[in-house]
Amino acid sequence: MANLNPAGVFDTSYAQDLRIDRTPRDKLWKNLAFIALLLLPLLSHSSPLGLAWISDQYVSLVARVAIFVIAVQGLNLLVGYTGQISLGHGAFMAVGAYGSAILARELGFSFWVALPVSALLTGAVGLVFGLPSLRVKGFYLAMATLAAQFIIPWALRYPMADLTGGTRPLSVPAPIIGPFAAYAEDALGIDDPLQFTAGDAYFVDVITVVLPPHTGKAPRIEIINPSGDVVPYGDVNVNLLMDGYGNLHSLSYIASKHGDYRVGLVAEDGDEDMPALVRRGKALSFASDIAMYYLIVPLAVLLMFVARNIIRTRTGRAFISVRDNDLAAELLGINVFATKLRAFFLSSVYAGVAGCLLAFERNSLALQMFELDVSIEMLAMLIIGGAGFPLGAMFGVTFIRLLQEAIIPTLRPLLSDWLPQLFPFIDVVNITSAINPILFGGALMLFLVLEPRGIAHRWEIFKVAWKIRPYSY
Amino acid sequence: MFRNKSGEFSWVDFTIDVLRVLIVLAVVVGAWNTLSSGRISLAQWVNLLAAGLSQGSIYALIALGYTLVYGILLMINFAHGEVFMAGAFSAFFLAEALNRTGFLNEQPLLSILLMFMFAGLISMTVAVLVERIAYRPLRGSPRLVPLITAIGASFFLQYAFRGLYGSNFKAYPQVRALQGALQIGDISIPVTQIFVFCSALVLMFGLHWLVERTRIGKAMRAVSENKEVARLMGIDIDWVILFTFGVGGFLAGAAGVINGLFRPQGVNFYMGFIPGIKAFTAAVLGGIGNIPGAMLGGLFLGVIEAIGPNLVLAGLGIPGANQLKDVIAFTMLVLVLIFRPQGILGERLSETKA
Repeated sequence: MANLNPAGVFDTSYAQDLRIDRTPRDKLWKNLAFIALLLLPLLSHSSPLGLAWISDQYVSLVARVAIFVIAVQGLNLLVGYTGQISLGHGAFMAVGAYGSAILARELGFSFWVALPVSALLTGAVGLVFGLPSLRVKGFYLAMATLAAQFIIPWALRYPMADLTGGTRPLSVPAPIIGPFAAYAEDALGIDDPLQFTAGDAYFVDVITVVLPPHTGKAPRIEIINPSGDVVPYGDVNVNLLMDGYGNLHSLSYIASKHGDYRVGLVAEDGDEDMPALVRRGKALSFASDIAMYYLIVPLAVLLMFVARNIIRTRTGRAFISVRDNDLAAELLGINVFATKLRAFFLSSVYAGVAGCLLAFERNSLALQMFELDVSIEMLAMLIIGGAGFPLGAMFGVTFIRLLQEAIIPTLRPLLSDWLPQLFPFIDVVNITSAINPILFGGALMLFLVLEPRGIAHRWEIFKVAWKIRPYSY
Repeated sequence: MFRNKSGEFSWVDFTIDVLRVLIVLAVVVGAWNTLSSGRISLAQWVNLLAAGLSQGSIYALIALGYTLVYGILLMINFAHGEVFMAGAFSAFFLAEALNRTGFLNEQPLLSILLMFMFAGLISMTVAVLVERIAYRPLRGSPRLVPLITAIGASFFLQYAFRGLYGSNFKAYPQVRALQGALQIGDISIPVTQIFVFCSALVLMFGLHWLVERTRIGKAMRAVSENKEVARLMGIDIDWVILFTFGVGGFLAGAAGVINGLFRPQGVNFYMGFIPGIKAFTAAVLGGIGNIPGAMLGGLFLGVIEAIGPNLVLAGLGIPGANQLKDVIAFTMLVLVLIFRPQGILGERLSETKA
C-alpha cells in the first residue's frame, strides 16, 4: 500500500489550487444549491405561487440563519484566518444594527444608504477595539474585546438613550425601493386630514409630509388607522427627516395593513397656520418575509464569496501567515499590526452588515439581542462549524440553529417528563429555560476536544470519501 | 522618553508616555482635590480601607487559582470564576441546613469550617473535572483552543447551575457571631470584615506552606520550572497538574463561602463572572504565575476599588464615582498590560508567554 496514491482530484498547477471551483461538478452543485435557496420561499404558504408546501416560518428561519452566517463569516476572518480572538462580536453587531436604525429613523436615510454607512461605522468601531492587539495576544486580547462587549451596550443604553430608546425596543422601518409611479403632491393643513389607502404586501403607499422651515415646536403628525385609532408613535413604520433646527421636518409613513388611513397635522403650540406638503407614491416594500429573504440570502451568498476571495488575495495570505506564525510573518515583511487591524476592520464590517440586516428583518431592536451570550454563541458556531474553513460559518450556524429550533423543542417535553423523577429537587421550568445554553456550552467543549477542526473538516473528508467510493484507494 | 529601544522616535512609545503623564496628573489632581476638600474623615478612610482589604482578600484567593494554573500550564483558566460560583452555591445549601437545625449559631466556628470544607471539596471536584474533560485532551494544541473550551465550560457550568437552582439570588443565613463591629476610638470595623481578612490570611499561609514545605509543593514548583525535566525526575506531571487545579479550586470554594458570608445579596448562577475577571486582573496586577504577587495584587485591587473612586474620581468631579467600581478593574487591567505587563512582582512576560 505504501507507494499507492489515493484517487481523487489533484492539482497540477498553482492556478488550479487557487480556484474556488476545483471541478466543473463542484460548480454545478454550488449553482444548484444557490438556485434551490432562491426557490425555497416560492414553495411557502405566503408565496404568490400559492403552492404552500412548506411553512412560512422556515423562510424567515433561513433568512435569519443567513444573517448570522454573515456575522460568523466575519468572525471567521478574524479568528479563523488571522488567529485573533474577539469576544465583542455581538456588540459590533449592535453598532451596525443601531447605527442603521438611527440613520433611518432620525436622518431619513434609506436602507440602501444606511447599510454601507453603518457597516463602515462598525468597521471603525472594530478598529478602535482592535488597537490592543498591538500589545496583547490570546487571553489578554479576549479581555480587551470583552471590554467592547461591556462598553458598547452601556453606551447605547445610557448616554445615547435619546436615540436608541434605552431599554425600550426601537422600531425600524422596512426597506423600500421607491417611491415611484403615480407620484402626487397635495397640500396638508392643520386639522385637515388626508386620506390614503394602504397597499398590499409588496407595494405600499409612501406618504412623505414635508413641513416648511419653522422655528417653534414642530406640529405633531398624526396617523389614524382604518379602525379610527391614532397609531402610536413608536409602533409606526416611519422615516423621519429633521430640518436644520433639529425639528421634525418630514415623515414618511408606510402603511402596513390594508384599509383607509388618514394623516393629519396637529399643532403643538397654538394653532399656527402651517400648510405642509404631502407627497405620495407607490414603493416596492421589503416588509414581507419573502421579500426580506430575497434581500438577505443573495447578500449573504455574495459576502461569503467576497470573504472567500479576500483569503485568496495578498491580504488574505497575510492574515493566514500572522495566524500561523506572526514572528515569521514579520520577517517576511508583513506589517503584522496593520494586518491585524485590517482583519478587525473587515470582521466588524461583516458584523455591521449582519446587524443592519437583523434590524431591518426584525423591524424592532432591543439591546438584549446583542449581549455577551450572543458573542459567545457566535464564537461557538464558528468553532463547531470549522474556524479557518470557507464554509465553516455556514455549517456552524446551520448546525446550532437546527439544534435550537428542531432538536431542543423535541427534547424539551421529554426532559420535563423524566428529569423531575430522576432529580426531584430540580425545577422543570428552570432546566427547560437553561437547556439551550447548557447544550451549547457542552457542544462547544466536545467539538474542541473531539473534532477541533469542526464540521467543515468532516465535510471535506466526506467529500473525498464520496468521490473515491467504493474503493478507499 | 519618546524613543524605543533602538533610540528612534516612535509614535507608539510617544503616545504611551503621554498617556502615562496624563494618568499620573489625573490621579494627583483628583487626590489633591479630595484631600484638600476634607469631605471624607479619617475614620471613613479607615473604614474604606478595611472594606477594600476584605474584598481584596476574596479577590486574592480567587486570583491564586489563576496564578497557580498559569504558573504550571501557562494557560488561563477562564472557567475559574464558575469554580468559585460552584463552591459558593453548594455551601449555601449546607448553610441553610445548618441554620435550620440551629447548629450554625450554636457552633459558628465549627459550622463555618464545615462550610469551607464542603465548598472547597465541591469546587475542587468541579475544577478537576474541567481540567480532565476540557483541558487535558487539548494540552498540546494552540493557545487559543483551551481558551475557547474554557469559555464553553464556563457557559456550561453557569447554565447548568441555573438549570438546577434557578436564576434567583439566594442569601446566606446570618451568623450571629459575625454581627456587630469592633470599636477602636471613633473607628468601628465590622467583625465580618475582620473575619474575612483573617480567614483569607490563614488560607494563604496554608498555600504558602503547601508550596514551599511539602513534597507535592516541590513537585509543583519543579513542573512549573520545566515539565520535561520534571518528568525525567520521576514526577507524575498529570497528577501534579490535577492537584494544582484541585488546590486552586479549593481556595476558590473557600472564597465562595467567605463571599457568601460577607455580601448580603447572596449567590446566583452569574456571580462568578465579574469576580473571576477581577481576580484575573489581580493576578495580572501582581504578576501572573507568581503566588505572593496574586495575594498582593488581590489586596491592592480591593483597596483601589474601595478608595480609588472616592479619592480620585470624586476629586475630578465625576458624578456617581462609586458606580464606576467595576470599570476600575478593567482600566487597571489595561493600564497594567500597557505599562507594566510583568505586574508588580512578576518577571517580564516574554513574547511566547503573553
